Amino acid sequence: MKQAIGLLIAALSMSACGQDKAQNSKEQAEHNSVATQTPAEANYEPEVRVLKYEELLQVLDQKNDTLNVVNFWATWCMPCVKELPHFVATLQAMKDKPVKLILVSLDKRSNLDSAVVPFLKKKNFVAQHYLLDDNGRMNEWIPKIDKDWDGAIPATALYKNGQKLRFDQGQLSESELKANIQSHL
Amino acid sequence: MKQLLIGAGLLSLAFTACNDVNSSKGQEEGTTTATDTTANKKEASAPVSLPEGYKVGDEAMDFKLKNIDDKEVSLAQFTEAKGYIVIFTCNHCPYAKAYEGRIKDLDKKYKALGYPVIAINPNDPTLQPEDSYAAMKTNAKEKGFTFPYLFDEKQEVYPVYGATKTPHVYLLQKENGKLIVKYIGAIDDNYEKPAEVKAKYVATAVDALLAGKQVTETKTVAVGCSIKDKRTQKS
Repeated sequence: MKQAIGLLIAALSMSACGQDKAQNSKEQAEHNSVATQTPAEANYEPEVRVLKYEELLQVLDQKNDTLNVVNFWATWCMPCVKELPHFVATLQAMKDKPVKLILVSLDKRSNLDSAVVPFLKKKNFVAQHYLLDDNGRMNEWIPKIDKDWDGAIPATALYKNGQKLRFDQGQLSESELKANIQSHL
Repeated sequence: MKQLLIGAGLLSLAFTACNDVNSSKGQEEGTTTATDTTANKKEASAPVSLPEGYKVGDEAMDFKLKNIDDKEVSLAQFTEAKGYIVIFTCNHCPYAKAYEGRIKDLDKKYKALGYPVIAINPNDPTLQPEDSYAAMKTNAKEKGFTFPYLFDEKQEVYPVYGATKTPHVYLLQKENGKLIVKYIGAIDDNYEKPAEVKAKYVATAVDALLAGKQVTETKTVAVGCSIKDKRTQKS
């Protein structure tokens, strides 16, 4: 009985939440996909490349006019995990535009197979994935990403043709993210 | 059965997610109804910006915060101290956890030399329940903290200092009755593998002060958990 009440409360809150977001079709779609996602359907196999800072810079140094949205995150970072769904959804919706989502996990390398990959798979976070395994040199690479970044995550950088166009420390709302992308496409 | 369980799990996930969103929104927007169109506009607006915080060389303020023994602690109480290793830290953050032992070591070594560790949890427990005052007490007891572990319950101290993450160190030195910031940043250069630490930033800085020398590396950065505050939280 207790369980049934719990379910009822959960269902009620979810519908309230749905209503809340009803005007935003994208978020609505996201809710739906979360609600219908079962282990059987989530067959995304994320590939996460482990790299050092210099290699990450090479990845970003592409002269192809594609806007790279680079998000620094970790599985343990609550605000990161909270903003990732609308990052993935926003970039999915812009599939036909020259813009790409690059997710850089700052999790420990030893947590790659036990936490990072299962998390990305479960959440179905389709993106280009990296794990920056450079913990001993944070004091070198963090200021190179942005001189004002003190290392708190989440943080998001926009790169095009190897040039950093923008850097935001802290969470970005869906509308902020869209506005940032639009102004640099 | 499996399906039911999964279903229940997903529902509860959705529930938590929504709950989070609503609670932080409620704080920022007061009584705005959820379906109101202004709600979305508000979401897009920038959060309250906090003061910029201290730079090395600035005079730092004292504070009075509740310790895990229910007593209020302020820096002025430590009349013998030459300075303080103020560390904004918390229970939940993997970085903070990784550094607990090293924070104890700093206190053990430098308290006797006049630089005690003063740890402060700046997080809002409604956003991060593991960082509640009760959980602080438990954590300090379990880990055998030898230093004050204070709760910035009103979140009034960390923004003045300019801390943005946990752990975040501010090394202060008493100079003519003032508290001067001498170092801001990380504890050392490798949170993950203490054995591979090459630069002990805080220890080196305190050693310099003890020797009457200038701190050479006054500012460092490291990845950390952002401080949980409804004013800077976005839905």
